[in-house]
Amino acid sequence: MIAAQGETKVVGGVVLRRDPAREPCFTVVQTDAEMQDWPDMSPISRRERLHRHMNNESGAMEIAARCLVDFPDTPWDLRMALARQVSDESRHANLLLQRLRELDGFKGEFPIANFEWGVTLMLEDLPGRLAVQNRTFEAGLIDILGTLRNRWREAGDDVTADMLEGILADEITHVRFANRWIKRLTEQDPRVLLKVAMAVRFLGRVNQQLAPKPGDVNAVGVEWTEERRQAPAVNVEDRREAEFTEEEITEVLKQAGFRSILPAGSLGE
Amino acid sequence: MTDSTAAPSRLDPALFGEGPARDDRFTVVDVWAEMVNLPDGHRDKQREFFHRQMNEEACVMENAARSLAEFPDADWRVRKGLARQCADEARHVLSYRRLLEARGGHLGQYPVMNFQYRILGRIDSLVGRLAIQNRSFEADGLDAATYARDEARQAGDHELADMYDAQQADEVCHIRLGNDLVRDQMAKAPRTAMVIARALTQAARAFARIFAGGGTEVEKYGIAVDARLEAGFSPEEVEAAVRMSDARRAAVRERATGGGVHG
Amino acid sequence: MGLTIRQKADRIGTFRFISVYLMETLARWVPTTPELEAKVLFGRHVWDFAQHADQLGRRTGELRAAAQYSLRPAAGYFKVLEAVASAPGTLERVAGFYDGFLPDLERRYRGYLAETDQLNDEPSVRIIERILFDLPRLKGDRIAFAAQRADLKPLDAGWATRIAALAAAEREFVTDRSPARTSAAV
Ligand SMILES: [Fe+2]
Ligand SMILES: [Fe+2]
Ligand SMILES: [Fe+2]
Ligand SMILES: [Fe+2]
Repeated sequence: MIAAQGETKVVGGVVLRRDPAREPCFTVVQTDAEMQDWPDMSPISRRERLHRHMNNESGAMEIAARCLVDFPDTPWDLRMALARQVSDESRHANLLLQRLRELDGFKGEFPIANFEWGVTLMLEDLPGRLAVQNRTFEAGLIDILGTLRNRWREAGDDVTADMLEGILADEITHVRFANRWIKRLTEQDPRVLLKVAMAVRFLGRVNQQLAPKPGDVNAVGVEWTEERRQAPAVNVEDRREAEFTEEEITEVLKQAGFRSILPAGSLGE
Repeated sequence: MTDSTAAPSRLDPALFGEGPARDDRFTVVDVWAEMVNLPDGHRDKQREFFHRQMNEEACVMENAARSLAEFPDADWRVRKGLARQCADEARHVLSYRRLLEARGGHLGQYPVMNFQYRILGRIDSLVGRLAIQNRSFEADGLDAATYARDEARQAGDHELADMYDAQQADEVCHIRLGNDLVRDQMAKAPRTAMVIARALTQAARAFARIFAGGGTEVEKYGIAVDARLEAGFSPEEVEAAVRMSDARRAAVRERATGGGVHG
Repeated sequence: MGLTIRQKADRIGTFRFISVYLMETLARWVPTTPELEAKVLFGRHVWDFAQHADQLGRRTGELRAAAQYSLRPAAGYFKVLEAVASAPGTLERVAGFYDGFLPDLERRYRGYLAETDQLNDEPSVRIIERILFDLPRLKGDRIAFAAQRADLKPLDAGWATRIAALAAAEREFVTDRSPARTSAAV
């Protein structure tokens, strides 16, 4: 059946958008603690990484699709960028599903969470959604992919590493169009900046309430150490390509505690 | 391949560049007076017009193509616009040829002149070329096509009216391309105004040589206001064009009735 | 007598409206369809219809209408679009869209090609030819989906046939604007 839209759920005291439609084979969970993930590159960890990433791409596709539906009066060129994003994310989800199957995984093998959808769809304006989904979550994905690609390659899986590299190139374009459009919309109407700020603050509050604390364990007993909680190395080069300003990159670096100077692969990702 | 432009031209090389290549079916002449200029109502008038216009379209196509080749560093948007114009003008050539042949004419039946191509050959800036070709020649063509379309429609010649209708829409885009480039360049470098003014003056002098024996004595049509506005001319520019056109037509009428001081 | 510029702009603008509507319909289905294979089918085609709309919209700007001008189709035809969008389940969404609706749309594009002058209106012709080039690929993706998810059962097996019949019943889909004020010379 088609899932009803426009509903909310409460997770850890935070009101979020209810999950998008998922097949019964999936176990949809709400918190990091319910996820099953491993810090190493063992076969099960590899499959779980692909499975989780597949669902995140699905979520990114769904968020961009909803932006198309919810804001029909958006400038056409921005709608085109969103439509393109929907198609890119669809391709990514498909690629990850294929790779998962090649590694003997299957849909529903691990729990999934739709955190990004839950947060972004609470925002009622497009600049806010772009700020949170594209400029924050997907920019974070640029950082993660920058590191992950190397980890897969070091683990001897060039096929997955190449696939992630291709996805990374697309993600840069998604972050870049969001950066460009937020800038343009802000120039046209300075109040847009306020919406962006409110969206980012909302995300900050949600993160504060829901992010795992040191000592928490996930569903397979892996502990959230201080290192695992930290953001991955900042992918400076690709963020620059996505048109973050030097100051913005510096700010992210600062918040990340300059982790980018650590050698690749030493992170808890 | 025979290149009929190889025939020596008597036009001033300071104002006119080399002509475009034409095959030996065509007789190429230099000036309007050497063309076959038939009186209104003559049974071959329309065929001669299609033939002449077909060659004009070819010259405009050649101008767009040459600009594309000679200004590789131009903005990509402009280059894309020129490529598109080139294809549009090629289509216009074919449309006129189709009409010409359908109505009993054939290629090379009348002399042709390539003044548009030759005048532009002596303009060394892209903005100058577009100011002349797209903003002046084609804008004049727009006025003529608008009039001709309505005239053909009234006469029940829908095939011809439809062709003008389609071409007019294309020309609006070409003129807009010229207007956009001029506006962009002016904003970037105010000196552009000088470059354009010099180009237009040079083109006007050359144009006067071509039509020394007549050919600009048209009083039938005025300015296509809506189409010009659509093509990106400012209301002030259109108003000025209307004023000039009215004055020109009044003068032509006066001369035609023998009462003109220039008589 | 061929099509006037205004008639061309109105037909192309209507095709654009339809393309945007289809893009939005697929986008609406992406988060609300449970099956991952269907989601990614719709998700990829969102971009195809956006590109069709964009190309058509560039053309309206050349046909003396606004750039990206959309004209709402005739009321009866619009109801067909709404019917497509109202599919009750995943298989009805897929079948109604790809098997019921798109073949009719393809016929309308071909109808335009037959009606317009191939030379004078060549830019429109090229755009529509490219759209017609895309449609078999979309159909191919739809067939691949069916092979991947042969386990799914329809809620309404006659859905696509009914959509096709609804579409076929609407001969006119373009609402012509009133004739253009002639931009005759002053
Ligand atoms: Fe992605
Ligand atoms: Fe993305
Ligand atoms: Fe032309
Ligand atoms: Fe032209």
